[in-house]
Amino acid sequence: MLRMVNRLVEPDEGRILINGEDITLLDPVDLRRNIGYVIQNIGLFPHLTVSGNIGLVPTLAGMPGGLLQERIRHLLSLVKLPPELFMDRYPRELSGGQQQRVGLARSLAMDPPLLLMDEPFGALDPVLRHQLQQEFLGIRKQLNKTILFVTHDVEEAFRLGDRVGVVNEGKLIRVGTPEDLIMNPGSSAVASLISVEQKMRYLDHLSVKAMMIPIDPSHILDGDLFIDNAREIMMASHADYILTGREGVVEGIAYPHDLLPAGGKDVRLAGQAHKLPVFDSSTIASEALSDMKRQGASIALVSGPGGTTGLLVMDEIVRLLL
Amino acid sequence: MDTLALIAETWQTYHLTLRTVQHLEMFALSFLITVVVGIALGILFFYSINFRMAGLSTLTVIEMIPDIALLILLIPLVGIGFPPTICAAVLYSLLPVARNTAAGLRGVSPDLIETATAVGLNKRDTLYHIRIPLALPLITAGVRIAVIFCMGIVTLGGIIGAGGLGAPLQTGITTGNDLLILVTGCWVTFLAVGMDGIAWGFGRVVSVRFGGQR
Repeated sequence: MLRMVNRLVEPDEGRILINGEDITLLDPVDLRRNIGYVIQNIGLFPHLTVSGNIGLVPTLAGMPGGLLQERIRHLLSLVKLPPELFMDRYPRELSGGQQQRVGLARSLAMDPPLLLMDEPFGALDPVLRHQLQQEFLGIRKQLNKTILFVTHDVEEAFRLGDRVGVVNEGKLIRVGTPEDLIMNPGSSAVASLISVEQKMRYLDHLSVKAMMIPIDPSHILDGDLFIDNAREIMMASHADYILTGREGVVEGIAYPHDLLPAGGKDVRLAGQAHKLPVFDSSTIASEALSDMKRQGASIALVSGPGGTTGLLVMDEIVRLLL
Repeated sequence: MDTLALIAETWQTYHLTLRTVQHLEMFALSFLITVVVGIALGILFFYSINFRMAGLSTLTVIEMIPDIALLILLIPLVGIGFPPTICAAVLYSLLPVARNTAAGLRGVSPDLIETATAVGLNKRDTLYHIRIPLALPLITAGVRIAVIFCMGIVTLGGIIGAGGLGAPLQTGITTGNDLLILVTGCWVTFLAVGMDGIAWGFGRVVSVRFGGQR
């Protein structure tokens, strides 16, 4: 699929557009120079040094020497290889991980807006793969490029991808955010691929937003109410608990027995409610859960841009995940 | 001491210094032509299958003609002495260079070629920057064989009046001068082994630098 994007393989049918331009109308050499390409077996040229590998295409494209040197240094620093140590080495003098870093640096040499990565970390051992994935996330943030990344590893896809597409028997059957795919697989093929019954595994890829119970803002009671009034409202609506707060922002939770103390006419609701931990809706689920556990809380609040948007209930999360 | 004096006298009498210079001139010329034409042919062979079939069979047929016969066959075509010797040496040595060049260019890993294409090298850039450098170890091996072939034919050229160290050998044979044959023979052997040694050293350097493709 990736090889079609840089025209190593011509499509039998259909069109590929990059920024609205049909790539079959572009010169293949120019096209490829503007698309970075990283593959599993790395493909460094064994007869060229690290600088030679990175600088080959820029040199052919006419980049002046001084600028090129600077660019090579910049790229090597980006992939965490000290330029002084590595510029003049040959690929065979590098470890697999170092070679892959040089491969990434080479793909960025022409500062292409688009990067194709074909299982770039597939051949590495798990520890190294994890480390490179982490670094890749960091580099990706700095680069701000479109990256097409192919992998067989669902974990990797969810860890690195903003949007994940699932290809089954040559057809793209689903595209969505990792969270979307986990919570709503949509088809049995997607569901079995990511083994949704074990959502537990994906806690790192889910935000609390996917796990919360939404709150209707009208159910939030004003904290300034006296508890007698609050109790009446609660009894009338047969609620097991009430949320208290102001203007859509929940501040605490109160249960029926919290509203029993004498002098209910003078005691305000806010004083009787229990405070709850608050998480931003983009918080990673696993982090929120361990935070709640540490605080001994079984319920937490999720806040969005407009105020509190949902409740995070430990039991409910466990039910969702199993 | 007597022996050394005799050798020195023979060397003087038969102008072996001059003959050596002539010899090396002929060697250098035929060798250079062989390398340039051989590599060019190899590249052509690489690009065109038809050309490769025709060219390699022709060169193989030439290779099968005994070298003396080839020298003599060339006399009616290019005259006597220097020209047929150079021609024969080149014709004889082209095969290993051209064949190895073509094989080396074809032997470069397809993965590397695809990578080269994918990062935006056109066909010519791929040839110059990827294929030829990576084929160098094999090309050098062919060139090394050409060194030996050229050396041999140039010596043989003495028979048809090309000068060089073949001439005193010929004189020695016709006049029954065993010492002359021995001195010249040893000297030619020494030169040939030395040339081969240089070619070997060059080949080593090239293999270390450009070899080891995965």
